[in-house]
Amino acid sequence: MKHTQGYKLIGAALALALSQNASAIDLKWSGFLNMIGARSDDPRLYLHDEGNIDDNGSFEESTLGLNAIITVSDRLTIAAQIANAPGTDSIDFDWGFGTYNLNDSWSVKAGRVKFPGMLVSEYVRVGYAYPWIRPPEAVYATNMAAPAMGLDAYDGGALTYQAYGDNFDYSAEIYGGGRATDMMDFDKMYGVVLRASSDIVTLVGSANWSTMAIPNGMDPMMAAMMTDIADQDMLMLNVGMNVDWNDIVIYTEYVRSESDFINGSGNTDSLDITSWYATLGYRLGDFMPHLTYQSLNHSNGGLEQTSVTAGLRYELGRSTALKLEFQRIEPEVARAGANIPIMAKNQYGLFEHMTAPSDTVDMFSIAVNFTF
Amino acid sequence: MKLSANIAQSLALLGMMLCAGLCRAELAIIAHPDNPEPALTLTQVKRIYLAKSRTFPQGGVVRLADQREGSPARREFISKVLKKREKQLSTYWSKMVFTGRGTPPEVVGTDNEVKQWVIKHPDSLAYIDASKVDDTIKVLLLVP
Repeated sequence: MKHTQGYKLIGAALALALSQNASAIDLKWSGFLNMIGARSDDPRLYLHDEGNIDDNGSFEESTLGLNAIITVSDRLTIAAQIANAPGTDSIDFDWGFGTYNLNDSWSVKAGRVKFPGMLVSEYVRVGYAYPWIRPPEAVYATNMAAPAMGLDAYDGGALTYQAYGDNFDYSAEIYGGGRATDMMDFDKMYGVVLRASSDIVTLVGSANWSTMAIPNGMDPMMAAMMTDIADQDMLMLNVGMNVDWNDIVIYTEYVRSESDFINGSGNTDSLDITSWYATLGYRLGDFMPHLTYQSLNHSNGGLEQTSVTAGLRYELGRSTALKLEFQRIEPEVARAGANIPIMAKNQYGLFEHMTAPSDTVDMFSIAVNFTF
Repeated sequence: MKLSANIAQSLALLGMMLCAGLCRAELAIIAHPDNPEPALTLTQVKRIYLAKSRTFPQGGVVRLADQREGSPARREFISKVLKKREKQLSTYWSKMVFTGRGTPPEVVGTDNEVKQWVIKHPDSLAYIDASKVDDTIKVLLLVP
C-alpha cells in the first residue's frame, strides 16, 4: 500500500530516537487493557469485523495497547501507540507522531495521528477514559455503515493553535494527509477541528473532507461493490459536547457524513449518514449509572438503527474500572429500491449483511478496563 | 497554677490534634531559591500541572514534582488547585497519555522529600504543606 513507506520512516525515526542517548532522553511507557465480553439474543453478528457479537457470545472487542512518550527536547516529543483494533488479534501501529512546540500557543505534528474530529476519537480504544464499554457505535463504529466509514486516523501533519482564557481553553487545528485501510483508502484528506473546554464543559466541532478510493489488492468481489463510491468525495461534520458538573456527566454528539456515489442512472448522488447519541450519567461515589440513546440513519430510504443502553461503571481501584451494560437495539434494513451505494444495501443497521435479525435485539456486555 | 497550665497545654494540644484532622491545611507552591519568578497565579500553576503549559511565565522549562498518592497535601492540591476529583484526574491523565499529549508529573514523595528534591533542581516546581516552608526554598504562591 502506498502509505507503507511512511510508516517505515516513522518506525525508523522512533528506533533512532530510542537508540540515541537512551540514558539522556526521557521515555515513559504506559499501556491499557480492555477485557470485554458481550452476548446478544440473536445469531446475526452485530458490529461485523469489530465485535462479531451474537448469541454465542464474543470476546473479540478486547484490546491491549502499549504506548511510549519520548521527550526528546524542551520542544520536541515523539509518541507512539501499538494496539489491536477491536475484532482483530494482531497488534498494529495505532498511531505515532512527533510534536514540535513552537511556543505555548503554536505546535506542529507529523506522523500517523488518530482522527481528532470527535469527542473521544483520539482515545477511542482506551476504555478507562470514558463511561461506556464501547463508545456509542452509531457515531464511533468503524463499520462501513457508520458515518466515518472506517476512518480512524490519518497519515500526515497538523498545525495547532491554543489560547487560554479566564475560564475556557481554546484550540484550533488544521490537518491534511491520507489514510489507507484494508476496507477503504481515504486520499487527499484534510480538515479543521475547533475545541473549547473549561473545568465543566468540553465543546468540539469539526469538518473533514476526503476522497474515497478502493484499496489496492482488495478482494475483487468487495472491490466490485465499491465501484460506485470509488474516487468520490466525502464530507463529515461533527459537533459534540461533554459536561462534567458536580456528579452529573453528559456526553452528546451529532455527526453527518455526505458521501458522493454514482447512482443506477450513472449520475452523481449523495448518501447522507446522520448519527447522534446522548448519554446522561450520575456519579454516586465509585458508581456511575448511565443511560444512552443512539440513532443512525441513512438518507434516500437507506438503513436505520436506534438503541437504548443502560450501563454502570464502577471504579475498582486505581486506574481500573468494571462496567456492565444492557442494550436494546432496533435495526432496520434499507427499503427496496432505495437510491444508495451498493454496499449500504441489504444491511440491517450495524448487523452482518444480508440476513435479518429480530425486530429488537438485546445485548449484554461486561468489561474490565485497566491502564498501567 | 501548675494544674491550670497543664490543662491549658492539654487543651492547646487537643486543639492542634483536632485541627490536624479538621482544618484544611494551607498549601505552598514552591521552587528553587534561585528561581527568578516573583510569583505564580493559581491559574498558571494549574495549567503547568495539567501539562497545558510547560514553561515558567519568564521562560524556562518546568520540572514538576508530584506527591505520593494518598498524601494529605496531594488531596488538597487536587481539589484546591486542579479543581478536580481524584478519579477525574486519573481519567484526565489517561486521556493525555493515550493521545500522546503529555505525561503526569514525577512522583517524588511527601513534603520533606519534595523539599529536598526542589533544592537539587533549579528548574523545579512543587507543592508542600505551608507549615513545612523554610528558607531553603522559594514560595511562589500560597493557597489557603
